Amino acid sequence: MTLTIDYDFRKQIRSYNASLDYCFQCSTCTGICPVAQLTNGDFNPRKLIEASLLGLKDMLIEEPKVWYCLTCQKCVELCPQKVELTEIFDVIKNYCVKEGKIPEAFNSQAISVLETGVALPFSDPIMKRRRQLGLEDYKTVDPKEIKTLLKSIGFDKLLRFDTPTTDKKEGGK
Amino acid sequence: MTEIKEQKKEHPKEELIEKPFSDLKYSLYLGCVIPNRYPMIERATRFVFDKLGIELIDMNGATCCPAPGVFRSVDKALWLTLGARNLTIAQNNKTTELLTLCNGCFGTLHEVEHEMKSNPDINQRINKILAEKNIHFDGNVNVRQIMDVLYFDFGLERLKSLVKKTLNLRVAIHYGCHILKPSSTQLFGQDPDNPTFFDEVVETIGCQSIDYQEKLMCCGAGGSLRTGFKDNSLQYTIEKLRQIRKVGVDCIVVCCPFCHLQFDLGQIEVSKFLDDGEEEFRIPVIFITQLLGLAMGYEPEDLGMIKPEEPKGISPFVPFDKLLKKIESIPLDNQVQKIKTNAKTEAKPKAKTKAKTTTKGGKKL
Repeated sequence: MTLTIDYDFRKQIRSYNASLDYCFQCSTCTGICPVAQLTNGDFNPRKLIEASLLGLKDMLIEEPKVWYCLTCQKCVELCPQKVELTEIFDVIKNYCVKEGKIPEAFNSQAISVLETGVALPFSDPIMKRRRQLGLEDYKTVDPKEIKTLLKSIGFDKLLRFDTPTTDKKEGGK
Repeated sequence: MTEIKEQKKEHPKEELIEKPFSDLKYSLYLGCVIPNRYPMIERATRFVFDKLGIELIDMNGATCCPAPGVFRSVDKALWLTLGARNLTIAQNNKTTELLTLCNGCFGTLHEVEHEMKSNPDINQRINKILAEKNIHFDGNVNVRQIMDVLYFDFGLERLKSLVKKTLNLRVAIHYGCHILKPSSTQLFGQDPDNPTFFDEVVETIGCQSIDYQEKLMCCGAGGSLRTGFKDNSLQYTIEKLRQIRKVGVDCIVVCCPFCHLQFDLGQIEVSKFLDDGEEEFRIPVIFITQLLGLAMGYEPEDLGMIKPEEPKGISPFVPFDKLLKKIESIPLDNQVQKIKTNAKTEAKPKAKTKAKTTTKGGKKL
């Protein structure tokens, strides 16, 4: 596979977060990363930073690896160069979304927020449980207000509405 | 845990302890997971605060915080806009303190607060978007997390005075991530690799915080992992559960509903990853306000610890039966005191007052 360096992409990440430049590839991040340990190095924050430094856009946005970050911030705490890794991964993920590379589970949750204001839709059984616990029915936000607000920042244009939003069972933080 | 306790730093908001309870007032931010997946947390928290006479004002019209992993990853502008809009609801409630019961909501709202207060460029940009809805964030809202409120606003002294039932349970606590990191904006001024505030609270209200390996590791749900890659996320959870089982506890105590979900529903979901012959996990998971309520002597039913009418798909997934049986068998402290006093009265009738003074102050077993 040939790797193409995309200078614009690299510049873009650096313009959002200049701490990228400080990385000297010591691999402390990968050493401490719980996901790296669990995936046997398949998710490797050092490599993602290296690819960002080199502007290897294709490598970063074609593979969904960057989405494996737990945002637990262990790496950020321990990085001797104070590289803000989770922030940089967010920049890359935001870029993926702009390129239409949003994983389905995220797409459906984002649509849920756009349409209803909450990430998890309410269901009858849960309303019943709330009443059993002596709680009032939850007052949801006026969806129209949220929709117009989010449309004003062009959020709807980032999402894919063509696929059925099936994976609505669980929430994500 | 005594070793850790000795390292306790003087916390910066000590003077708040002197404030009377009736002066405390918070806007309650519920988020998505609590009202929608773990309503028993809402029940327990509202109940305990009500009993203490502390006002919780609902945040009508609040949206998803939005979730730090999922929405920040999708679009940072959306994340800041919705986050700042939620902060303005607390502002409209005429409260300066916004209380969240979730680490994730805390992570988002606290960071949005920080960005809006410290970055004039972002403040201007986001307020301009909000202006379309005639909303403006004035910057008079402090985002608080339940642990921070218990630790600083209630304070350990007062928490201790609330205990009516010394449970002495062995509990495994799980801090979670966003409450500890980034350390630059963390509220407790503690080392994220060696925090003590949760342990201190749990031990103050009469339980034993049992140390276990990987105590500070993420529950596995964080970021986007549970949402996008559930099997991977469960690999963490099973590791943590194994470590917790190894030390033997009565329950897991959490301060975040998403960690709660990952540990509770997760125990059912990890079944497929169990080794041959490995026993299923059935460790009850409770929220810190439930533990506090129990220690205050309230009934489990008051704290939402009842079985759902239709259990399918409704939390809690791990039954509380064993834990509740144990709690039921523990007498209230004043009953212990009475028994002790009676015993002493029978033996030495004149020593009644003396017996009372010796049993004052918590340790009565």
